[in-house]
Amino acid sequence: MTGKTLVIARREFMAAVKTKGFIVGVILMPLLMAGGIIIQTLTRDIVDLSTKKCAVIDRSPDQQLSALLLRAADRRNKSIVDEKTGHQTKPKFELAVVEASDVDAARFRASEQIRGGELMAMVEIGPDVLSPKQKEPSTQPMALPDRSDPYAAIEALNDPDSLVYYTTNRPTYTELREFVQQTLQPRIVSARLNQSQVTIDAITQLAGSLVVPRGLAEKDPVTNVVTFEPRKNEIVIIIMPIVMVMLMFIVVLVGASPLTTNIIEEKQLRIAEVLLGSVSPFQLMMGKLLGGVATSLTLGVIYVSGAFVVARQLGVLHLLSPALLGWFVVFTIVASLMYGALFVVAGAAATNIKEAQALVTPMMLIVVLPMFLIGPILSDPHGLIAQAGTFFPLSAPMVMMMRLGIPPAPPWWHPIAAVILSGLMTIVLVWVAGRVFRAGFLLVGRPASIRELIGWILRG
Amino acid sequence: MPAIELHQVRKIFGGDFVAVDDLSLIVPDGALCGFIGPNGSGKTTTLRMIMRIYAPDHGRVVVLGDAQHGPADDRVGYLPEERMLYKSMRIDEVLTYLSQLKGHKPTSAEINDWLDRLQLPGVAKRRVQTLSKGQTQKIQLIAVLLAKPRLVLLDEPFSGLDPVNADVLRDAILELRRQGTTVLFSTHDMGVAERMCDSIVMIHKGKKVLDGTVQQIQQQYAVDTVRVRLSGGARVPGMLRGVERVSDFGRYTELHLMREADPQEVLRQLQSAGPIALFEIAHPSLHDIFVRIAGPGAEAEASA
Repeated sequence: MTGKTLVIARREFMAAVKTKGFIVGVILMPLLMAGGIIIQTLTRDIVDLSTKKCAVIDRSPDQQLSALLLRAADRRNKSIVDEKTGHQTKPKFELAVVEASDVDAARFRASEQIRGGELMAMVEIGPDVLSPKQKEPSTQPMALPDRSDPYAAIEALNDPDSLVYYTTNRPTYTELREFVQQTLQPRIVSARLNQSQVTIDAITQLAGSLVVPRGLAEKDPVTNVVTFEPRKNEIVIIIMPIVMVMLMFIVVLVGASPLTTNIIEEKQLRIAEVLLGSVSPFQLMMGKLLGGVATSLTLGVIYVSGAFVVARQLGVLHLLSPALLGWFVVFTIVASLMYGALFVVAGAAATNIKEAQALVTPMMLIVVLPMFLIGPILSDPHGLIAQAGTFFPLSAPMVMMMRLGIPPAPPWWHPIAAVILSGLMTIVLVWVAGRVFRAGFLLVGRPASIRELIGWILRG
Repeated sequence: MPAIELHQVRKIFGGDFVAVDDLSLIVPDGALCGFIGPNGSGKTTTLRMIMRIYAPDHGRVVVLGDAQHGPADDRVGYLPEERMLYKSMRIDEVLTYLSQLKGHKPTSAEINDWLDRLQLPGVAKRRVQTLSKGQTQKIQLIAVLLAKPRLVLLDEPFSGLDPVNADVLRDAILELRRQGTTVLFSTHDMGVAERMCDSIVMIHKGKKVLDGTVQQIQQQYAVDTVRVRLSGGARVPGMLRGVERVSDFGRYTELHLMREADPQEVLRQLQSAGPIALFEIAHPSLHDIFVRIAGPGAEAEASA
């Protein structure tokens, strides 16, 4: 790295951080955070308070479940009033038991009222809900549940008269359905257990899940006592690498994508000739790349710091190990340089913005490609795809970051190899960009052909 | 050691367009050399090869003793024909930046001194975009000169300048020569080249067609021009034996003689037209030589 490269990088950085885009970006972050908090505070009290009406068709023998529902709704409606302010905080539930001598007629009438918006929902309590008929055991092998309809399995196991049906045309409003479930489920289950003389604990013991994840065993060298490593949070294991790769992707794009237009503008403004009179094309391209990367990392540091503040507030900061954080910084820098170099090549090869857009699209695909590997890497972090992604320089930083986030840790030399390979790829790309730039910087007005580009790369 | 040596240099674009063809050239250290030629003759390509922006396809370019990229590059200043600067940068910032790329970090005093010398006092803190075209051109020249180069290449430095700014620029170039800096500049202004330069190189269609001092070049085309003024402002006859072309400059008329024509015979013909106030056998001007080589009739003359 020569002093001249750093002089160029410094100018590019200073020019970039003085742009409106950067300043807006920096100001936008705290504004977005503050705005989010303000909007949350403001909208907390803005809730839909319209009364939700529900028809109840209770076909159970003594209609005790509908009475239970009505009482529960009444209690709830009283509890949703703020004692201090006297204001209602949630919508009231207004339940009405409907006459159901003709069940189908009652079902259709209520459905029409739901369609017309008079009712939010209809609850139908089956006649055998509390004492279900014994269903004949099936002689057929058990069919796999239909993944598109999770309730099909419940219907397959139970007689329809022993179920509670909830009907609405607003399935996204779940509060009323949850209220019905939470009110009726304990009473129904309790009644059924009493009849069968089985306790809930016995059922859990008999039919509950018996496979429990446990940490690896480790032996105390002094006492020889075997203990187990703490159980890892599976959700964190899955989410953390995805979050880090997404964050890396954003930081890379912030710095890399302006490089293309930046170089094209330089060519169009003809400043390039002055600069090429003083520095080599490689130095010029490298300087521009370093300036762009410094800009994106500056923005990245600001954004990531904000994310850490939020993570700390939410109490999830402890889930991120210092080693993982260190590798995140290393691979974000490596990724910014390498993917930035790709965009530098696009800028060197294009003569105008329109032409650059066509070149940037395949570059974007290269940057996005590792994202498609998240699934296979999560399921097998040391498998063929994960290893191939590690040693293919254009995917190495993101793939390696994913692998580092998923236990067990990869061999120590894998991340180092990924850094070296990506670094070499960066140098090759900048060298290519320099050759293309020198040969093509005066080519304004017509695009270079693929043959010309290859010729420039090979012959300079 | 010459400042610039070009040995049989050739540059081809697009596989078949020969921009510079077998060009050999030596610019002595400390010389002020004019580089002339019609548009598209290969002047800018040659300057870019000297600057190592382009690599020649054939031949050797030696600059300040170095045949390739090296420390000598920082001692060469270059002002390209198409001149632009970063518009949003301050003038002192852009001068510092471009100077640093030549390995020299100028002080504020140096910058202000150059701004004063080129009659731009007090503009150091202004943005480039606030300057006129002529002022910007002078800033670009300062950017070249701040790094104290030993060799300066200027591509059409006078183009677009008003006479006042052209004089300022001319004085700056002459000052450079006095300090021993080698200057090679391309120009279309033959008068400027004739008056300022120690030597002239002309290329046409990529080939060198003239190389030497103005006197040496004029001597190659000697005694084929006669300056005449008839008494009382009488008009010089247009049809004279041995005269190929007549150029009326108002104060006098230039008669361009045919090859092997005798000036005495022309004088005899003029005497019969009336009393003669001026009859001078003159060397052709650089402008004339340029037109003869690169003008519309040049090819026909060459083929004849």
